[in-house]
Amino acid sequence: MMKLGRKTGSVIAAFALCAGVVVAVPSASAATEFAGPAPAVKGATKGGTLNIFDQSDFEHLDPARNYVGGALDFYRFFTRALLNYRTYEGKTELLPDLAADMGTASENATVWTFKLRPNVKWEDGSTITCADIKYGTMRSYADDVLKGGTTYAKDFLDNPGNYKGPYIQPSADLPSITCSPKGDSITYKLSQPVPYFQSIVAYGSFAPIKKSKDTGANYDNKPFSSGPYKIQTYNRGKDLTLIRNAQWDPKTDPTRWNYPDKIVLKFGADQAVIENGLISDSGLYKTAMSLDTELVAGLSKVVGVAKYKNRFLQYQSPYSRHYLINMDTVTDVNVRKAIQCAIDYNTVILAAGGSNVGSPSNSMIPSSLSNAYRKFDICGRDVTKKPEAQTAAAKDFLSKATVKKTDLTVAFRDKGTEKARASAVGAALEAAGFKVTLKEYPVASYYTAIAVRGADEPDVIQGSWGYDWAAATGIVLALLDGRTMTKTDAKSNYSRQNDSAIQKLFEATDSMTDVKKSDKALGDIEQKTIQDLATVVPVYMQIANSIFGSKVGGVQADGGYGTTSPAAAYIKK
Amino acid sequence: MLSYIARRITSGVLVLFIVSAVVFSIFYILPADPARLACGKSCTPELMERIRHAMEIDQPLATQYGRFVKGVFVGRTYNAGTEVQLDCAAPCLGYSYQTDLPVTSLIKDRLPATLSIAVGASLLWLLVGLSGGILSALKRGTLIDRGSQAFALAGASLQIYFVGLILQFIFVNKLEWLPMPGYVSPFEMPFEWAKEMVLPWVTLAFLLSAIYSRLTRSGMIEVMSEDYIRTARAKGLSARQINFKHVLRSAITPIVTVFGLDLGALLGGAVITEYVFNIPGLGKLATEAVANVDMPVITGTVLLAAIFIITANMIVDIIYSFLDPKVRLK
Repeated sequence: MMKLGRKTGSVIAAFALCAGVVVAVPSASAATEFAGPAPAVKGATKGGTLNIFDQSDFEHLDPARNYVGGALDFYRFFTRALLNYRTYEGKTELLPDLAADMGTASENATVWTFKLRPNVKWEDGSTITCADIKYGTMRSYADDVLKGGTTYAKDFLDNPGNYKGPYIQPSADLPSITCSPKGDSITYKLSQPVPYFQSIVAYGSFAPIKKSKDTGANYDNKPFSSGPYKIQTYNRGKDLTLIRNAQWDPKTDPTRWNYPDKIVLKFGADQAVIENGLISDSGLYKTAMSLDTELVAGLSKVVGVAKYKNRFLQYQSPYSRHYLINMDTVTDVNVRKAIQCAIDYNTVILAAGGSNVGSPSNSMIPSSLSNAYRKFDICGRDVTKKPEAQTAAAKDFLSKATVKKTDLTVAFRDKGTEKARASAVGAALEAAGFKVTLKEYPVASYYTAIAVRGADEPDVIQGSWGYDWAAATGIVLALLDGRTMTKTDAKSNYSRQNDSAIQKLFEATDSMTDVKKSDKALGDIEQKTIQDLATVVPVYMQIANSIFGSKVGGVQADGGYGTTSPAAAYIKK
Repeated sequence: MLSYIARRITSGVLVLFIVSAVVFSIFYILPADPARLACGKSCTPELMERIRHAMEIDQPLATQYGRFVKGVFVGRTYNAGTEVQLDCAAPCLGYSYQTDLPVTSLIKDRLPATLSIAVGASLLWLLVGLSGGILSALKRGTLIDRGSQAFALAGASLQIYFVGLILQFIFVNKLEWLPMPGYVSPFEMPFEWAKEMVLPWVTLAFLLSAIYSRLTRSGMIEVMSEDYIRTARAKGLSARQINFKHVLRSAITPIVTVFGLDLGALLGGAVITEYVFNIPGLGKLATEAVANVDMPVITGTVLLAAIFIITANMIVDIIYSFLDPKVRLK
């Protein structure tokens, strides 16, 4: 079962530092109506223009193509789905959106039925129908035209007729999705048990698309709105303006707010320009924030300084930064354990920007996933207490190796602090007796290149990961399950893990419909692969640092998609 | 003259063919696969092949290039016979892999911003450079000369990203005298347009006027020592007539050459300026395309830059022949 998460790039995964924050999923069996509106944000008032300055445009705003955290958070201003995350006062919940309930599972979680809210409108005043929701999913099958999105519909829905999408099969149907005769509920028949299907339907491939408004690949440039805002203008790479959608009824939506009159995004400014502007709080920056620009150079100016306190947001994200050790090229477990011991957590975190950027972690699973997260030692010590390199232990493991591979290639991306971090790792490995070549890859092709098997494979891969949904299935399966690989492509299993004993444990989780049980099992698997196989060296969980203008309120860390979120933002009078 | 222009245009078209062929070839050599990049994380070999087919990059290089050239002259159709057929009118430079928008519309959209930077900045640096150089030449050895040359040296030594960021910090963030640089249409909001362009113009003018100042100064000093200038003085011509009608005119020819090259290059995209001041021009479009391995956009922007440089060179040669009667266009 292949599950994929979100890589870094333009994604920042958000999760509050407070211990009390969890992603709550109301019981699937509850049939209560979840009525809107969303609870009022303290101090919020309507009006004004929220300005957003980003370094780059969104990759995609088409629901079928959107797979990046920042865009997934933002596009909820104009895209509704069956279920949606709402973060309110530090708590994140998955709630009904177009659905009227959380869905009912039957037949061992291979059939899911969602009741639908009546009288929810598109921006042109027409009603969003069950057929629209079904079409949105059917359209996602045209993944050669609508490139880049999640494939959860194709992965999980039953498709006996090999449906290929409406562009090449305009008259064909996808019978695994059925609307009730009255159109007041929708049922999905899955090809396998998916106990976390509620999290899946929050994704865009289950969002409605009005067939008459479908413009194929061009839909990316002007999505049709079902949310509180609609697109007024969108000039790719330059700017995007949202204005209020008069057809959105807050009473039908417990998950969204619409405080600003207008939201104006400008793309393309330099990191330094955005940082300086937001810190200086001048001109338009007073009413501004950024979705993709964290404080880097300006962080030391802002952290701990009283005057910035009310507009500085720092939170621990579930984004793990780690090193994957290629089991195909580093075949001896003692060499891999030597690498684990050699890495110095302090120097890597320092290279990343210091303790305001990351905190040492022994796991790729965030501690907020309490059923999955394990606290265990790496190289015989608690990395949060003894983060320094264990060079003596590394040399000892290396001396025990029978296949002594000491020439290592460390792969990293040409982006941000990646080179500095890779250099820190290189230096630590050399101190332990390895000979290191640092290999830089272009950002755009990194994940493609490092996944290639059979030629020029790197030995140690600098990686990062954030879950697609708040469960270990969104992390451990994607990164460590050997079944995701092919002979030529490691996919997301960059360590090429395929140990038979570990694989048996993975297979046992396939039938676990209880999320708590599967989280526990996958947490155990991760611990085994790290401690026994030494395939991964988790180093830190990212801390995100954002600043926004003094006239902006309601900016928060979103627990659903992991971003500095404008969802509840308002302009102060 | 007309036959000269015709010959230059013909050779220019040949250069464009060579440039486009080279860009295509380089793209093929690149390790990144645009289909794999567009495919997303949930990619299978079968999906990648379908995407390659949809993008028409599963064809041999020569076929792809042939279709591209045909598209430029007569247009082309993508995904013919499907629900998502796209007709691309000539000159068709293809569709962006990143945004699925026609490359010609992306270029048209970004060109005004680059034109605004290039034309405004070039006029300003020409004015500043020529003025500085003339003043220095006429007041050679004085404080004015030294001051002017120091100013020029500072401009030549500093970098756009440094000066640009400093000026923004001072005038936009701290003093709030100017709005954030950007681009609005001069036909819709001319005053706003000018205000938002001031910083990019001033930055580029400060940095690029240096060479014009030095060239003007040294050229004028050299010409002023010529015999015919002494003769002109002896004949009783005024200083103004001598300096501007005779000295400057003779000294200006290398400046025209450099100006043509600089302007041509800037029209192709002032990358750093556009990034520092967040002006959505051709330079940014090109660099974003390179980062995204967006071959149609890369080809389109490279060709356009080549057109500007070829045209600028041709115009410079023509102007040269007017300025210097000894030069004959052959």
